[in-house]
Amino acid sequence: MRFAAAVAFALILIGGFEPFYLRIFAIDRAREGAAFAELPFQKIRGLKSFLEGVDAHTPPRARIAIWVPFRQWEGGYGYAYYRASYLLPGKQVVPLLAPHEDRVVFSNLAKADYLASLGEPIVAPGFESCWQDEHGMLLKASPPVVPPATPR
Amino acid sequence: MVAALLTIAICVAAGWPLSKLLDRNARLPLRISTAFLIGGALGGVLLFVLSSVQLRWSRMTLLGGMLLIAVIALALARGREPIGSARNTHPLAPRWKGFLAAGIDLMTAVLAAGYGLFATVGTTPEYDFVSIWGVKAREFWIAGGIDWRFLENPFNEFAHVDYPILLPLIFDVQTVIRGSWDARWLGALYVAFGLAALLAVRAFLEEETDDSVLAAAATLALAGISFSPWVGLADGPLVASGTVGLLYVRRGVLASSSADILRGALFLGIAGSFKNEGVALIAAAAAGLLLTAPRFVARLWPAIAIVTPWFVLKRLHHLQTDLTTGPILDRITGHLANLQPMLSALATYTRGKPLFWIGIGLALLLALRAAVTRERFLLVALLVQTGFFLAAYLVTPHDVTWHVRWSWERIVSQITLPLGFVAIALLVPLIEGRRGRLEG
Repeated sequence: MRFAAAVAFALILIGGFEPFYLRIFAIDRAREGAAFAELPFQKIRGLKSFLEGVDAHTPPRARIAIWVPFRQWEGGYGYAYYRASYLLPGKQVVPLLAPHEDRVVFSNLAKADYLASLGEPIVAPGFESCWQDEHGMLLKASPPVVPPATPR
Repeated sequence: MVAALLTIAICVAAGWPLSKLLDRNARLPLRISTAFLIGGALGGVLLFVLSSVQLRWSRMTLLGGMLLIAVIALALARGREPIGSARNTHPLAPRWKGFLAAGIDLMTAVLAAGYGLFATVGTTPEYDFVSIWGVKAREFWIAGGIDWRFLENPFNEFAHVDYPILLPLIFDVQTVIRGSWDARWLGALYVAFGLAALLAVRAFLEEETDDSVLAAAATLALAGISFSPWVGLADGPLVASGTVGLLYVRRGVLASSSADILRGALFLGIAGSFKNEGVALIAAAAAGLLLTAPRFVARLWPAIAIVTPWFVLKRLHHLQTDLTTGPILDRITGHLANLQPMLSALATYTRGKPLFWIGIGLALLLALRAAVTRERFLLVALLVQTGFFLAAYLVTPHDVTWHVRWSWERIVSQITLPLGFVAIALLVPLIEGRRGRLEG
C-alpha cells in the first residue's frame, strides 16, 4: 500500500510538472514577447498597426465604424471587430455587419463619426478622407450643412 | 516592472491586517496568500466605490482608501495574537530533512521564477484578454471609472459585459498605481495569484503532515497546476481564491469550525467576483456542505453577500448573459437529444496531463474509504462543479464543439488544484504508514 501510494504521488508530481517553466530560461524571450504581442491580431495583416493609426488620428469618445474586406461575421469581420475595441480604447466601435449575421448594415454609419476601412478604399456619402496608411484609410463624417439663416 | 511589483506589495500590505483579523492563527504562507487575495480584492472594491460616488480614479484616492482601511484593520487586529499552537507545528526533524526540504523548495522557486518569465515575457496573446478582460479594464481606465455606457452598449456585447468585473478592476489597480496602461506587466499579477494559490496549498498541506520533505515535495507536485498558463484571463485568480475558499471550508468541516466556514465563504465570494464559474463554485460548495455538514450551509452567507451586488447591478443595467438568452429549454432538449457532438468534443479536446490524472485516480482508489468519509465535502463540491461545467455546454447558444474546444481544458484547470490537494491529502497518511488519520 505504501509503495502504491508513493507511485501515485510520483505520478502526480511527474504528470503535473510543467517543463516549459524551465525551458523558458533558455529561449529568446525578446522574440517570444514580440510574437506574443502580435499573435491576437496576426490573422488580418495590418489590422493592429492600422487601428493604432486610427486611434492616433481620432479624438476621445469618437464613434468609429469598421469596414474590412470580409462580408461574413465568422469569416473575418467578427475577428477584426472583436479586436478593434481593445485597439481603440475610449472610443466606440460601430459594426457595419449585423453581429453573427452576414448582412451589411450601412444604416449604422449614422451612429459613427468616423469610418475606418482596412484593406480596400471606400467612398461613403457624408464622409471625407482624413488619413490613410499602407493598410487602409480613415474617413471623417462631414459636418451637416447648416442652411443659411433666412430673414423672416 | 516596478509598478507591478509595487502593486503586489501594496495589496499584500493592505490585506495583511485584514487577513490577521480574519484568521489570527494562519501560518506565514497562508498569511501572505490571503493578504494578497484580500488586498487585491480591496483595491478593486475601492475603485468600484470611487466610481459609484462619481469620484474619478486617482493614485491618491486609491492608495489613501487602502491605507485607511488597512490602518482601521490594524487597530482592530492589535492584540489578536495567535491562540494555541496546535496547528502548523512540526516536531524537531533531522537536519538532513531540513536541507532536503529546502532543496525541493528551491526547485519550486525555480519553477515559479520560470512562470514569472513566461507571464511577463510580453503582452499576453490571449484573445479573451483582448476581447473581454483587458478591453474592459482599458475602457474603465480611460473613463477614470466603471464605464457603464460601454457595458450597456449592445455593440459591446461581445465583451461578455455581464461577467463580474473584479478582475478588470484589479488590472486597473495596477494601472492607476502605474499611471498608464501596460498590458505586459499585468502578467506579474498572475505570478502573485499563482504563488497565493501555492502558498495556501502548502500551508494546508502542512496541517496534513509533520514531514517537511513530504510537504515540500507535495508543493512541488502542485506547482505546475497552481500557475495558470492563461495569463490575462480570470481562471488563475479564480483558482487561487476558489482553492483557498474550498480548503478553508474543508478544514471547517473536518474541525467542525464555523469560523473556518465563514473564512472560506469570504474567498469563495471573491472567486465569484472574478467569474461566473466562481458563483457556481459557491453553489457547489453549498452542495458539498449539504451532504457532509448541513448545519454549516448558512455559514456561506458572506459568499452570497459578496456576489449579490453585481447581480443587482447587472439587472439594473440590463447586462445580458449569453448562456441564458433565447430559448434555453429548447437548447437543453436539443443538446440532450443529441449528446454525440458534446461527448465527441469532450473526448477530442481533453488534453493535458494523463500521468497526473492517473495519479489522481490511483490515489482515490487506494484511499477510497477515506475519500468518501474524510474528503466527502471537497469531492462532492468538485463533482457538482464539474456538473455545472457540463450544464453550461447543454445551454450554450454557441456551437457546442466550438465551445468545448475553447473552454474545456481551461475550466477543468479551475478544479485541478483542489483535486490535486485532496489526492495528496489522501496519499500522505498511506506514505507515512498512518491509517488512523485517514479514517478521520
